Amino acid sequence: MKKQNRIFAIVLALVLVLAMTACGKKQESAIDKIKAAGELTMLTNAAFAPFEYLGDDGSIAGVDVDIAKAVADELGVTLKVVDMDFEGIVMAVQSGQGDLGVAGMTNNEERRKSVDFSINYVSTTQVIIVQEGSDVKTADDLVGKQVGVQLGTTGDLFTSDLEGVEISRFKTGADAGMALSNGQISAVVIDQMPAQQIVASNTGLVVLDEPLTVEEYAIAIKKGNDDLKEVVDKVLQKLLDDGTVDKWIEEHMAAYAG
Amino acid sequence: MFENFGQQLYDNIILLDRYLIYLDGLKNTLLLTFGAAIIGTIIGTLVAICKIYAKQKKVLKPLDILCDIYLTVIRGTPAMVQVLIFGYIIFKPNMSGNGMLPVAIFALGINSGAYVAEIVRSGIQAVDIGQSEAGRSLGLTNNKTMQLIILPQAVKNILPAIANEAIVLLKETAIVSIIAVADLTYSGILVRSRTFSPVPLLLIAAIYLIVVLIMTMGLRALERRLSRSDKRN
Repeated sequence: MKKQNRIFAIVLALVLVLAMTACGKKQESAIDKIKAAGELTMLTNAAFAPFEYLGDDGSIAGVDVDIAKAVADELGVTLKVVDMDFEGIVMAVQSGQGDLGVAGMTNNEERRKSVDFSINYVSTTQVIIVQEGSDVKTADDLVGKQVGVQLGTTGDLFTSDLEGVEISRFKTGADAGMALSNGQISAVVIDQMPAQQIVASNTGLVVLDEPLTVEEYAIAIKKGNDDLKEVVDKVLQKLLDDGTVDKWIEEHMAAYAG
Repeated sequence: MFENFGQQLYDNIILLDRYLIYLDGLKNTLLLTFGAAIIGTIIGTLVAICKIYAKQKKVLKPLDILCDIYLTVIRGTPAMVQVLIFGYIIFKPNMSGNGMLPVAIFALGINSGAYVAEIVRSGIQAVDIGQSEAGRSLGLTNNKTMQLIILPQAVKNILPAIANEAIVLLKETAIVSIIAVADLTYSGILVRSRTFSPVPLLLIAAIYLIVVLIMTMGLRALERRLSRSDKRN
């Protein structure tokens, strides 16, 4: 019995020592770590065309993937795309499980508390999708209606703040679009460009013109990874200046709809 | 991640009355668990009895095949896929006023039924063949033997296993958030999407654990009660 206790104590001491050394480890720069791994990991939710969707070749494609690819090229490493639930991306970036959160993600105050953002690369808005001939014409008409959103998105935040609206929160925007086209819900509130893609791929749906918010997409980066943020900002600025981002948006909207 | 943990606890539980979200989720999780357990027990028992009778009567052969298809399909596909198919392809309920919840209960009940059927069948078959021979020798009909001699003994085998299945089911209900049903897991994910904190997931894990512990206590009590007539120990 005593011997067992002693072994237990030794194991416990070892665990403690290991735990402490883990804490004391010197912080490597983010870029050094990425280069050592030879891989830049991008976290996204691949049901948000044209920014990320399952491409024809079976891998994840989209504007965000192209942007992340440009960053990876700049660093001289390969890009790894991880598809996950949208609401989990901020926390995963925050805890270093991925290098970049590139998911058509709006740069807003709530998220800035947990992660840093690159420069903005797309200006957009939330819009309402309804079935053709619906009596919903403006945001005011959503009262008393069952409205679909993607959980954790700005559309979710916007709709949650409306009084008297019933919300169904879906894992992906595509699920919400399908439920709307099934007639299971009355409207969907989602980002403008994905809305256009949902309408293009489901018959009988229309996007209402009224913009509900003003917001901008940016890339989420773990707080403190300033060297990585610098590279991302530089690459993004170049892509924005020469019109590449706009060109990619057009290309992917056409590719997804076709 | 765990900086200002006290503040995080406050933000994730008390702020904006967020505890109401968890309570609402817990309510739906319990509804799902017990609703599905009841449906599963009814379906499972019927299927098991069908299969046992079909062995003796040729007429029931088609019914037996039907039961086999049900068991194969349900046990051969993931519950999450079944829930998606029920929610988006078979029923397509209107989602206003929790419309998805009954569909989710039904889908999980159908799923659980397949496992309960095996529990019931093995429970009945575990009763010694001598018992039914004795019943038949005493002049009881086949049905009466089943009713008076086999089933009462089988129930002792079956009840604890079904209670255990209900505990498994409680944890299985966590998948329904995939069709936008607001269960306990969904409530944790929802709060997390607003606060980006580890607290919601840890909190719902603790709630699940407490409910499982309570159910396990119930199961132990049930086992004690059932073993009272056991003279073997």
